[in-house]
Amino acid sequence: MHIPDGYLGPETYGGLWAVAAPLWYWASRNLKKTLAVSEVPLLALGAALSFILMMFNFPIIGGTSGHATGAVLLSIVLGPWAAFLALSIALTVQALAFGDGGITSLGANCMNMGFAGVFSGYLLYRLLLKGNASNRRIVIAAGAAGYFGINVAALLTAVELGIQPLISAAPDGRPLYNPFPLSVTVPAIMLGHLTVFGFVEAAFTSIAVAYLLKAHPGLIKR
Amino acid sequence: MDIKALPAWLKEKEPARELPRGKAGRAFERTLKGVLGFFEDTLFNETVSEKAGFLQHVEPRLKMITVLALIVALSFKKTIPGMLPFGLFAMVMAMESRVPLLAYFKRLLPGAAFTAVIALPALFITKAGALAAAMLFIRVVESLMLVFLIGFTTRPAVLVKSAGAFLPGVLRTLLSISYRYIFYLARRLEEFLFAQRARGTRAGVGFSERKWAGGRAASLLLVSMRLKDELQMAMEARGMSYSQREFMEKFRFGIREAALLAAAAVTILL
Repeated sequence: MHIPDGYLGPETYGGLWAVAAPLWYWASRNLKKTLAVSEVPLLALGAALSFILMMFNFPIIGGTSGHATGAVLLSIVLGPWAAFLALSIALTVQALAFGDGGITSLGANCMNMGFAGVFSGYLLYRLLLKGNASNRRIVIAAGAAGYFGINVAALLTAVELGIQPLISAAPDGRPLYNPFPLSVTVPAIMLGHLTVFGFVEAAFTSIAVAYLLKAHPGLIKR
Repeated sequence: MDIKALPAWLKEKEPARELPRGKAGRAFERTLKGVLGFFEDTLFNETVSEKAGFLQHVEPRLKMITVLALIVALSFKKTIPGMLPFGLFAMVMAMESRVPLLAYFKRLLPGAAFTAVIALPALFITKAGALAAAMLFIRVVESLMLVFLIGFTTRPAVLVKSAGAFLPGVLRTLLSISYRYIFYLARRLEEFLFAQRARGTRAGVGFSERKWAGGRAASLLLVSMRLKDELQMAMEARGMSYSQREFMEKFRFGIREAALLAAAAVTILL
């Protein structure tokens, strides 16, 4: 789901940088106010962990497998703002040191996976936990949130790519960046996420949460 | 011997299972390949960044900003002839910096192949479609060529410090600490994977394989929690705060920096 450099035009990636930058600033200021100095290591390790979680190839049915992002898992443990910052740092290291995901599209990737993916998943998780919060319900809610979060992130990615022919074309109408319209990008990306990667993320999140509930229940935000 | 000192995999009670064949073991192998590739890439970057090449001796912050400016400038180019100088710039810089070209192209391959697959259908639509596909391919590959120059020619620790120089306090501290612990956690993951393999098991098939992967991810989270306490104590003992400034060498501007800026300016203006 990482958008590389070259797929988004300056209007799109510039706009998304303009949205992401104040959010990073606000999140870091907010954390500075609300977070004890003692929690800085937790956040830093959360960022390192999110980098590693993206290395996990998670198997689902029939030998199919995919990468999990761990976005909702991190938000359940660290809180959504901290998870957003953690994922942003992991994506920055991936882009700068390993060329995985673009530099110009870093704002877009952080907004899609780090912000939209985290917050939509976390909100659904909170919503599903209203009232009764038994362990079983927490595990199911975490899985559903993981599925929802990654699909929201994928949909945004598909939309950003699909609007390129509309907003960034040469005078002769030739697309300058991603050449495929929304009618191609949305089904192409969403099909894989709705049928495979969403379930990868759901299974990954719920199994990890189930493990934590057994081994370290205090870490799970209820 | 204290039982606590034993690695977790030795204490597991689950019986060893036969290695799954074919598709069933692919996820395990892919994760292992990913982790090993990560260490291989880092080691390679470290080795090349120690060479006595041109970009290795350029002020790292200036190098980073120049390369980023080139990637942004490349994104504004609307014709193929306008984009080609950027690839040429990257090639010349790679050669002057003694980057092994075969390895350079090998690193480009996954991104290039991915874009080729994406762009392929556009080739068969119209002439304009073919041109759009070619532009996308060139733009993506040249952007990768540029960004790899940073990783290849800057020592990882310096790269993180230089990136941190552009970030506000708490983010700088987070980036600096997290980068160091990425390697620690990757090593732990590698240990999990090799331990499973050494026992003659992967993770079973079906649900048990998923349970294994999810469990290992949660284990890494717990490792992070434990490390957090140690790190916190170490930070407090050293009197560190949120916005700890990393020691950075004084900004320098000499003949190499001027040459890099001039070459970049010519590339952008061509």
